[in-house]
Amino acid sequence: MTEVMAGEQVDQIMNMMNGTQGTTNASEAGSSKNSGQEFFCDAKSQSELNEFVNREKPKLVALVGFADYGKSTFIGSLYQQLIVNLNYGGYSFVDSDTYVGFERRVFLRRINDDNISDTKRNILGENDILVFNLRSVQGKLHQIIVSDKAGETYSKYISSDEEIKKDIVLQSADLILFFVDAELDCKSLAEHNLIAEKYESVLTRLKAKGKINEGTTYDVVFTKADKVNTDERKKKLAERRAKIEQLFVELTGTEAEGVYEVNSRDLNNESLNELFAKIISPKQPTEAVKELDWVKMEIEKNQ
Amino acid sequence: MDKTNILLAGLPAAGKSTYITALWAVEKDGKSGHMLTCDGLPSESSYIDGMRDNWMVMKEVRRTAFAEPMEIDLPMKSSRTGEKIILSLPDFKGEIYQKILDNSVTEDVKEWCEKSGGILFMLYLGNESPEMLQEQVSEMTEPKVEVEKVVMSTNNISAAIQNVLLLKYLYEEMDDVPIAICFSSWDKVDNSGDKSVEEWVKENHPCIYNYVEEHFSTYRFYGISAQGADYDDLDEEGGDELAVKTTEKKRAFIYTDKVSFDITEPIDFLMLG
Amino acid sequence: MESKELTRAINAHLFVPIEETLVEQLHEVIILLTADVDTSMIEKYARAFFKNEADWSFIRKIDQKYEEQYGKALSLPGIAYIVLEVYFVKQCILSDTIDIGLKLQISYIVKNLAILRKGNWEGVMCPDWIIKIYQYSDIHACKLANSSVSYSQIIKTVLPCSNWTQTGLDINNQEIFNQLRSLSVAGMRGRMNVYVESNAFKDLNNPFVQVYILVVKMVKEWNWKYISSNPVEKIRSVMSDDCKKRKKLSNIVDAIREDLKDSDIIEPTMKSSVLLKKIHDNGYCGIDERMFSVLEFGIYLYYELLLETYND
Repeated sequence: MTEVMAGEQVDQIMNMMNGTQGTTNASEAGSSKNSGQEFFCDAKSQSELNEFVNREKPKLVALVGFADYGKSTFIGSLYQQLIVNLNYGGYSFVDSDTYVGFERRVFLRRINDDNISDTKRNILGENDILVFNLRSVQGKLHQIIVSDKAGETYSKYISSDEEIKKDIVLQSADLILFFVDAELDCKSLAEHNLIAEKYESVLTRLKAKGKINEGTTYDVVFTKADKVNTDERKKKLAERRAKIEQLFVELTGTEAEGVYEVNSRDLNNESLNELFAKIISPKQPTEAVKELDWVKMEIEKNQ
Repeated sequence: MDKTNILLAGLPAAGKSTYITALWAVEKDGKSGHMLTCDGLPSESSYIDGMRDNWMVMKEVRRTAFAEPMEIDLPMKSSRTGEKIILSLPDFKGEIYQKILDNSVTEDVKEWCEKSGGILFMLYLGNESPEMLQEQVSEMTEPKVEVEKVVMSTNNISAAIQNVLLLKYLYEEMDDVPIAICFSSWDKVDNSGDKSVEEWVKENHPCIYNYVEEHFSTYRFYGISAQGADYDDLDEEGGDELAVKTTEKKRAFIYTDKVSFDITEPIDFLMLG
Repeated sequence: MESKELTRAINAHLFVPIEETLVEQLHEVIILLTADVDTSMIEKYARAFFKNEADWSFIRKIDQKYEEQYGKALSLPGIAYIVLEVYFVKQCILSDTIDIGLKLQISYIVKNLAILRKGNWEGVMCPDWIIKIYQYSDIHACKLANSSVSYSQIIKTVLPCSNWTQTGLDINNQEIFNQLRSLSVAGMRGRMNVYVESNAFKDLNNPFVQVYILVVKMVKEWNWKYISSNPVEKIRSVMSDDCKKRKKLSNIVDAIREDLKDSDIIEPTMKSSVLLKKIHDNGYCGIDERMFSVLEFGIYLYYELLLETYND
């Protein structure tokens, strides 16, 4: 027996003990069809979005913001609320094809914030699509899809139309949440100006490429509101928030539906829960076309 | 005689092997008067006899070391219907189920999923509660791990969700079969107020409750203590007490809304509904 | 052009749009499938799309035909099949090769099955196409009932005579035919008026029972489709203030079955006859808790009966 052969035999035994020999992919069993995924029920990619369209197109919420603006912490907290409560805001969280995508974001919260963009990217993985399956207390089932892209993606949008062209989420989104790091915004005027500058570039490009338009529904979310904890900072935030809001109105052509200041780590925060309730509520059905009720039309015609 | 295949599923340390051991130890002589009792001896019982010996002397049951499951066939008789069956349970290593979460499924698991008519799902979550998770979120200011060592693995997924993922896989593979969800080491669980297990699950593990309730039309929750007590806490007197209970077949127990020493109840439920 | 419309309709429901070349191929497949259409197919498909579903046999047909035509398997999101289902029915209505009579039945089937969405019209897919499908029978109904010619001349000519030859009338004369037609219509109107004034009708206490009997007679005895293009006016004038009374469908049906017993109840043959089936066997129909006014109930019933007697 040569060394190579012995090594092969050892590998075989190890594989047997680890149970990898004669294995198939768990994702093939059911709805998680991406066999390239590291984990069962991991986050999905944009290209898989149509898999969630069955009898109706689910609500799509896009989280937009640069690195460390708190998007993943935010969505991780929503996920936590849903798994620790039997019923949250009138809905039970009954299933997801992306549980592990959420768990990645929860895990990320335990990581030191310093200079670990690469590590964060590794933990978050490539895919940004997360799904909640919710059942209302009245018994109706609906799905909410959330896109939580890495902040670096939006940094690329500042300078590149090519990157923006690849985005298929924003133009289909029923709600866009634009994130701003409140702590950073209050840090210095220079930081505030940089935030504004970045968003100006991104929104200008998005609008030019038709990814957003005057009909786009959006909210502005100021995260890390707990860090704005002195009177001076609160005053600064109030001024700068108004400027940011105005900037968004000018760039999108519409007013924000809502502006929120949240602390994603405080699950009792009223503003946070209000925003969560908005995200998980089902999409409004398309308005009825009255002519479909032909009997009513006949009756009205003959009155 | 008909073979009844029941998939015994659960992550590592869920208590699968201990349950089988206790079942064998209690029902072997066929005299328990429980819903199911052994009706004779299997042709080969060295594996389960070895585990039973440890159980008898309050030593931890040695978990199966092999990737392939030990198939345990027990000739049983139902006291409800008089029917005689061969109860067939696989004793899989827990890591085999955990591998499913890594997107790696063995052919043995697939085969058992295909041929089983019910699931006996074991899980151990200790006294972890939703409130504790909420506190963890708000208290998280200091980093818990060194940056350099960080790699996401299955173990970083919360224990409750790992179990939901396994339930999801089994549901998608086996469709809507009857399922008995058994929380092991029930003797250690804090159930002050003596809530029913179902109420306890709703309160403490709502994500598991919601998943099960949504997908399985025939389900029941159980608390199970196959050991009867925590061996680490046992002194000589405690040990003797447990030995007496063993003889009286009042050591291992299940809990639904009351204690029962008939640990065949979950299997009886899976077979007869 | 049509495939552009189909592209827009499908992609409006998707996140990732499907390519136009694929849609063009799907359009071709649909056209090919319209060649084999029959009413039972339409009943299945319409029932499905009103429930925002795609019928399995339809999905199989599309997949098989596509593979046959283009040599590769089709993979579409579920919602695309629902859009294609409505598109298929619309194409049947627009087809030059499908018989007018069948197209008329198709239109009535869709109108009848729309009852499944009564009170719940939000979220119906492709509403514009469905309305186009409805309109086919509206247009055709007008063509059937157009007797506005005076019949007095023919009466004066015929009554004094004892046989046709004595009248000197030429049966091939279009004007004579029109007058005969008008006379028949007048006769039917007369018979109806006699009936609705009779004690037999007035003594029926329950207005839903009354309207049931009324529309059965309108369709089966008095051939109302030739008299008027829509029954609403007549039902309203006969039932007057009772038109507005409302009840749950389950209660309506219980009353009809009780008052009429089995002998007077029609057994439907069409699967789109939701109300007739409910009245006949009182099984769960999915809309048992919906409220209907007497007038609404009468109108839905009229068109179900109309379709039932279509081939009589």
